[in-house]
Amino acid sequence: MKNLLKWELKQTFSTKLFWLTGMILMAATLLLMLIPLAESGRTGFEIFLHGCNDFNSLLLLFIGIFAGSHIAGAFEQRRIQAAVMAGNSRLKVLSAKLISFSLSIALFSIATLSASAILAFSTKGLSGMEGSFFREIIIRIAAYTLVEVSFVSVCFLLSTQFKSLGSAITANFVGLLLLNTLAQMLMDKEWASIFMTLTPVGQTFLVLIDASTKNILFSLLASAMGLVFVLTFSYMRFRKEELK
Amino acid sequence: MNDTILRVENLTKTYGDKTALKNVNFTVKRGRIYGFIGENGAGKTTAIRAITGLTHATSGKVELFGQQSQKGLEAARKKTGCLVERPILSLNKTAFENLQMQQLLFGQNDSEQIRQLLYRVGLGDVINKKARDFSLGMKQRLGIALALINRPELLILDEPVNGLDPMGMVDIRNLLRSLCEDDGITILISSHILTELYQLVTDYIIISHGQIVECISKKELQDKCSAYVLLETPQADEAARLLEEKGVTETERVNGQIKVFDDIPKEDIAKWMYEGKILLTLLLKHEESLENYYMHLLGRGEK
Repeated sequence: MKNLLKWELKQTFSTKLFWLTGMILMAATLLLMLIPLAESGRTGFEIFLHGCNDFNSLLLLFIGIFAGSHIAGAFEQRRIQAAVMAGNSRLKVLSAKLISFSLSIALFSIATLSASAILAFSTKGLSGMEGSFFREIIIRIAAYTLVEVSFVSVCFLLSTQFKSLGSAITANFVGLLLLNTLAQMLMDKEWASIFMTLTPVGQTFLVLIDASTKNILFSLLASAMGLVFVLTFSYMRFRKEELK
Repeated sequence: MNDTILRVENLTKTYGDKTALKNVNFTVKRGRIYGFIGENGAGKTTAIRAITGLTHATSGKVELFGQQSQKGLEAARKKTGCLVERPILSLNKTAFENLQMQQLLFGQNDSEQIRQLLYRVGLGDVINKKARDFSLGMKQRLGIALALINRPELLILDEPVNGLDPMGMVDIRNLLRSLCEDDGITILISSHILTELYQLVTDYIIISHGQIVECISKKELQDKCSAYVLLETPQADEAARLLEEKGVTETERVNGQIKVFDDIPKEDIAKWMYEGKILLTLLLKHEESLENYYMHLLGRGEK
């Protein structure tokens, strides 16, 4: 597994798409933050949260392309086949792929949100926070990153179902948009609080509002459940699949 | 050390109501070069895909280096090098980088090995050229190099000489022969180019319409490919009687031509005919080619 993971990570980090996606997400998020920065009366913390929201929206737009290329592209270029022929089990191949995908999203998230925090607090100061810097910013970034990783891993699941690049990208975009829209609609509904609390898409909203220990733990649980769900259902399809 | 590296038993693969492989049985022994011959659509690639894990058989089993379990097969495949259908290349990477990535998959890091391999497959002067700029033949060579990166004991090549010019075919043939003779690598190579395989392999596995028609060594094939003396004479009846008197038992007669399958030199037959005052208008030795033998076999293969 160690060799497979090294191979997978090197493949991922050596692609132009990885660096381009990361740069676009960071640049676009920081650019969008200029709007609230220009407004008066906004605290540094509010601007930071604004940046988190912008990042989430940009992720919906761009991550479908990255995910499609990362997964469906790997099938099209037969890199998955190469890993299987090299004597790796299909579960390991899929797990390594999910780990490299998740790590990519995590890196995008940590880099962008850290840069957002630096921009927000260096210009507007550390005002607006109720709790400690460690909880409100560090823990929140960590939890938000995990939640985003789990949320966009739905693209991983969709991309394994659609082997062509174009179909995968379309399915990813539609899937993310639908889930996000659903979560926005249910956000204020009390009867949907379980859905919001225990799903990664719900937590992408809740973590920004509530960084309490209880909610952070729920976000970890939701993230873990989301990733397990994605891996399980992806593997169910992949294990008997004909690899061309 | 166990002589049998690969054993395929009753391997069957169906796609819906179409049977691609039906009760396929063959073994591959260490240190030999096997030619896996079949017409297009015969099932060669499907069988290779089942051996390499790219497809799951409907029934039957594959035993690789004595391993049959899922886990055992995965470990055994680490001792196998494969080139299935077409090489798996990163076109944006150089030849060197492609092999470097493949080494990573096996936990290796040996630049010297990469250089030696590239020279061995005839790509020594394009080490730093991007794969997208390679010709088809160069890509095939790089694919073979990729299959050799883990120093395999078994090399499985699916139509590796496709797209190669005659010089390229000769180079690959010499390379494969050297891999077997010098490095002790067992090779299973599929092709429909019969004449090309004939100069390389030690054994044949012949498949048609998803079924194994015959497994035969080259020596047995040479013996089996029927040789006969063909004579033509206007005195066919007398010639046939004379041959019978001389103890010839296996003959075939078509109009004025007689085929003698007994192992008798044509010079002896000529002498008998001369002594018997029988005029010969044609006398030649005929040996059946692999192609003819193969075509006869296919005629006996079931659909």
